[in-house]
Amino acid sequence: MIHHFPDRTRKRGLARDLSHRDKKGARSGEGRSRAGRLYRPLAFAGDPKSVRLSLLCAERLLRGGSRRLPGSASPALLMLPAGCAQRLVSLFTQALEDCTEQRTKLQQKLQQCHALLGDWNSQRENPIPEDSKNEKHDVETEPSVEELKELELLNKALEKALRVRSKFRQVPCETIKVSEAVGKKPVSHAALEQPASNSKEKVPETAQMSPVSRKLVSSKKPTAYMLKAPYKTDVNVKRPPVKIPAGWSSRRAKVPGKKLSPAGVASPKLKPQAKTAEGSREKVRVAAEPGLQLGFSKCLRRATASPSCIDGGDFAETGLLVSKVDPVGEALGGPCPPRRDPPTKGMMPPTSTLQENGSSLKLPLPYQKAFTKYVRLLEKSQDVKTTPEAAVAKSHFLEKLQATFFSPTPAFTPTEVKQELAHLRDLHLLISQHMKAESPEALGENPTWDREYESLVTLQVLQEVVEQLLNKVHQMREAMVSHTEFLPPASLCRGDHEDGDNDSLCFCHASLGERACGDLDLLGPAPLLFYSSLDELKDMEALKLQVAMLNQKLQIQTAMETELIPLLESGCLSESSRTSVIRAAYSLLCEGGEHVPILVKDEELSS
Amino acid sequence: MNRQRPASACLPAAIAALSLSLPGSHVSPETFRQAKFDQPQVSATFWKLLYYLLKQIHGGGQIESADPGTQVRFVKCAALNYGYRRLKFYQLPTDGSEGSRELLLAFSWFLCRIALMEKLLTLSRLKLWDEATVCMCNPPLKCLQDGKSLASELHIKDQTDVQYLQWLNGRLKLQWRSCHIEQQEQCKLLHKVHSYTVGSHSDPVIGHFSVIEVDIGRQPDKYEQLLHFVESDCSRLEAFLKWKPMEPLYWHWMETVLDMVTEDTQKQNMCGEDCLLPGNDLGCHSASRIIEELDKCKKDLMTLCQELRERRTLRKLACYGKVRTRREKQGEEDFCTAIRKVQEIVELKLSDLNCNNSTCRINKLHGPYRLVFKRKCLKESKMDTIRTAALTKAITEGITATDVISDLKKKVERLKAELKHRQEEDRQKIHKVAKGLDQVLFIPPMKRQKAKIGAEFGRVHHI
Repeated sequence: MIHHFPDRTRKRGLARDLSHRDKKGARSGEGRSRAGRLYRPLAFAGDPKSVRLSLLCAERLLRGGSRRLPGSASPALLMLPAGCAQRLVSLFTQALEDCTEQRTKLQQKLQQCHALLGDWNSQRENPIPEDSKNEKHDVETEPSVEELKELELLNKALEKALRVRSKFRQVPCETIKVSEAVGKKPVSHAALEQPASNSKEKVPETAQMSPVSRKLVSSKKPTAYMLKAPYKTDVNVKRPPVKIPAGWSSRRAKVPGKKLSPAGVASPKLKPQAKTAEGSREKVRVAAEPGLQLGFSKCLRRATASPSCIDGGDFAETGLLVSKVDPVGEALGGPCPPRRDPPTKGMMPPTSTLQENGSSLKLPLPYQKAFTKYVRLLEKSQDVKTTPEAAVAKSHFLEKLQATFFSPTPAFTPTEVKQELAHLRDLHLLISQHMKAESPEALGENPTWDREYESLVTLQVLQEVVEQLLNKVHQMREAMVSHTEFLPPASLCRGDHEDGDNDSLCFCHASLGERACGDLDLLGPAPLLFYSSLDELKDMEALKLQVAMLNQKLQIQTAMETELIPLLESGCLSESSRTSVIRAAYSLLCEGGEHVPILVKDEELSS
Repeated sequence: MNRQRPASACLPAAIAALSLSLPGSHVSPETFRQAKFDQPQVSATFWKLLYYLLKQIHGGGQIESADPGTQVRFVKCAALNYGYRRLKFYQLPTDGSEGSRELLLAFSWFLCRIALMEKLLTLSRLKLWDEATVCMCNPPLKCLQDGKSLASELHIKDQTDVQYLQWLNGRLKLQWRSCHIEQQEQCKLLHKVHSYTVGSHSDPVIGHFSVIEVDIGRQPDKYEQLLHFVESDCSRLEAFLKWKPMEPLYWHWMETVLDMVTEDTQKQNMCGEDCLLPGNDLGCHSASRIIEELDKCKKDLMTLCQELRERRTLRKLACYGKVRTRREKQGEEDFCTAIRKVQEIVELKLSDLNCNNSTCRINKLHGPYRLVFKRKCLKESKMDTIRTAALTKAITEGITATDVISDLKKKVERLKAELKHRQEEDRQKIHKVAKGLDQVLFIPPMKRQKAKIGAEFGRVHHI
C-alpha cells in the first residue's frame, strides 16, 4: 500500500504534480519540519511493515537533501478558508484527544497487569507510572522539534542495528566480542542462546550494570520467552547470512530492514544505543524494540515493559519489569535473592510470580468473609420489593411535587432525548440497509413469488417502523421545545453575545459526563459475561474498538463532506490550488487517506 | 417495623438508614429536620450531597472537591436534564447559601424518579470486577462536537493547508492502531491473570480473581483499602435493607414538607413573570443543538419513509399478479401456510430492529458485566453436581462473549457498508468536479482490494 507514495513521487516528471511537497525545498529552513510532517501521512498504511518502510521513506526525505523536490509555488495556494480549516482541524484534534485518552486508560491497565504478572518480590510496592508527559505530544497539532529529533535517533539506531547485525551474522556462533560496536560487552550466554532476552537490558541503566549481574539475570531466564514470540518465524535466521557492509545506511538496507527480526537485530543494537544516545535513551529504546513497534514510538514508549509484552512472549519471568525495578538493586542482587519481601498479610505465597502461585493464591480471610457477606447481601437486596404502601406514598409525593412544577414534565427528558438520538442514528442505518437488501437488484432477475412477497412484507414492516420513529421524534422535539421554553428567552440569544459566559455554557454541556448505561436500578449480584478463550476476548475487544473507530470515521467523513465538497464545487479556489485540494479531498473522502489520485496536465488535451 | 409506635419516633431511624445507604459522608436525621424548616446553615451540606451523588452517576471516578459555585451549577444542570421543573429550585443563589428545603425536595425527587439509591448501590459493585461493557451506549470515544461549538475556543494558526488535514488523518490512524495493539496486549495480560488464578476464588462460579483482587495479594496496603471498601458496601446494603420497610414513613414526611412549602408560597404570593430563571446559562445551548439534530433526524427519516413507500408500491405492483395466480393454483390452505411462513421469515429478519426498540433494549446486552473466564470443557467435565448446577445456572443467566461478538460483528458490517456508501457518493461528486478542470486528466488510484476500509484493522488484528 505504501509503495504507492514513493512511486508517485518518482512519476513526477510526467505528472504535473500539484502536491504540496513540491514547495518544500523553497523554504529550506522549514525543510526539515516539512519532511517530518510528511512522513506521517505516509505512515498509515495497513501493517507494521509498511510503517517501518514509511519510516525509511521519511528518513529518505530527511537526509536526502539533494533529492528533495524543487519548489516554486507559493504556499498560500493550498490554504483552505480559515473557518473551514478551523472546524476540520478542531474535529481532528478532538478525535486525537479522545484516542489519547483512551490509550492512557489502557496503559494504566496494562501497567497494572504487568506489575501483577511480574516478579512480586523484586518490585517496588508501587510502581509509579512514569513519563506520562509523553502523552501530551499526541494531542499536539504540529510535529515538534523533539519528534523530529526522535525520528533521527530512530534512524540512527536502525542504521547501527543493521551494521551490527551484519557483523553478528558473519559470526553467528561466536560471541559478540568480535564486533567493535559491542566489543565491551562481556560474554554471556544470554547473548548466545537467547538474544531476545536482551530486551531486559534495555533499561536505561544497562550501561551501569555490572557484567556479572547481567549474566546472573539472563542465565536464570528460561528460553520459553523467546520461543513463544510470534515472530519466531525468523526469516533472517533461516536465510543464509547476508553480508551487509558495516557502513550501510538503513536506507539502503531497506529490504532486509523490513524484516528485522527481534532475535537477529534487536539484541546487538542495544549496546551501541545505550552508549551513544545516552541523553535520549528512552527514545532510542523504542527503536530497539523488535518488529512492529518501530512505527509507533509514541504509543509504546509508555508501555514501559519490555518487548516481550508485545511480541507475545511470556513475561512472567523474573526481571521483566526491570524498568520499574530499582536498578541498583537489580544490578547488585539480581532477581534471585528477593531483596524486599512484601510484607505478607494473610497467606500470600513467598514466591515470586503469579504464574507459579496463581492457583494457590488465597486472599486474606477477613476479605473472603467480607466478600461472601457482600454477595449474600446483594442477593438479598435483589429480592427486596417496594411495599405497596411505600409505592403509594411515593407516587403521592411525586404527584404533589410535580404539580408545583412550572410546566408538566414532557414525555422525554433531555437526557433521554440525547440517548435516543444516538440510538436513532443507529436505527436509521439499520433500516436503510434492510431496505437496500430488498431492492430489485438484490432480488435478482426472476425472484420466486414467495421471495417477492417476502420483500413486500419487509418493506411494509419497515415503513411502519419508520412511521413510529417519526412519531417519536416528533414527541422528542416537543419535549425539547418545552424544555427551552422553561428556560428564559434571554438565554436563547446567549450565543450571540460573547460576554465571557461561554465558560459556563461549556461547563454545562460537557460536565454531566457520560451516564452509566444499563439497568442500574436492579440490585443484585453482578451480571456475568463469560468468555472461553483468549481469542474470544481479543475479538470482542477489537470489535468494540472497531465500532468506535468506524463511528468516529463516519463523523469525520460527514464533517469533511460538508466542508470540502462545497469548496470544490464553488470554484472559489484558484485553478492550481484547486487541483491540489481535489487530490487531497479525494484521498481523504474516498480512499480513507490511503491513496492519492494523479492529476495529469495534458497540454494537448482539448478542453 | 413496629406499626404501633408513632411514626415520629421511627422517622429518624428511617432517615438514618436512608443516609447510611448512600455513599459518601452521612447526613444526620437532624440535618434533614433542619432542612424541612429551611435552615440556611444546612443548605451547603445538601448541595454537596447532591453534587456528590449525581457526579457518581455521571462519569464517577474520583470526584474532585469543587467550590460551591461549581457544585450548585452542576446540580442544577443535572436536575434540568432529568426534567426537574421547580422554578424555585433554579432560582436559588449560586453560592449555595440558601434553600435547604428546596434541596430536600429535589433530593427526594431524584430518589423517586431516577432510583438514585439503587443506581448508586449497583454502581459500586463495579469496583471489584474486571469490568466488561457490552453495549455501545457510552462508546469509548465520545461523540465529537461539531466544529461550530469548538471553533472559537481553539486557536488555530490561520495558515492551514489541506495537506495538514491529511497529516492529521494519518496521525489519527496511527493512534488508532496503537490503541488497538495496546488493547490486544491488555486482553492477553488480563487473560493471564484470569487463567493463572483459576480455582482460587472462593466463589466457584467466578472461579478466578480479578485484577484488583490479585493486586491486593501483591500490595498489602491496598488490601486494607479494598477490605474497607467491601465492608462499607456491606453496611450500605444493610442500611438499604433496613430502609426498604421504613420507606413509607419518609414519603409521608416528605409530603408534610411539601405542604409547608405550599403554605409559604401562598403567603409570599410568589413573584411574577419577570423573575424566571436567574441561572439562564443552563444547558439551553445544548438544547437548541439537540433540536437541530432532531430536525435533521426527522428529515432523514422522512426521506427514508418516502423511499420505502415508493418501493413498496412498486413491489406491490410487481408481485400482485404472481401472488394471485399462485393462490389460484395452490388452493387456499397451502397458500395460507406459505404466507405465514413468509411472515415468520420477515419477523426473524427484522428481529434486530425490534430489539433495538427501547423496551427490549433494556434486557438485551447492556451495562457493565463482570468478565469471567470459563474454559469450554468445564461445562462438560463431571465435577460435583452441585457445583456444576450452580455454574450452568450462572452461565445461562449471564451472557457469553460469543453473543456479544456476533452482535458487534453485525454492527461493524453495517458501519462499514455505510462508510463505503458515503465514500462512493463523494467519489461521484469529486469526479464531477474534476471533469470541470481544463486540460487535466484525472486518474483515480488503482483499485486494490475490495475491503479497504477494514484492511487496516483486519491486518493488525491477525499479526
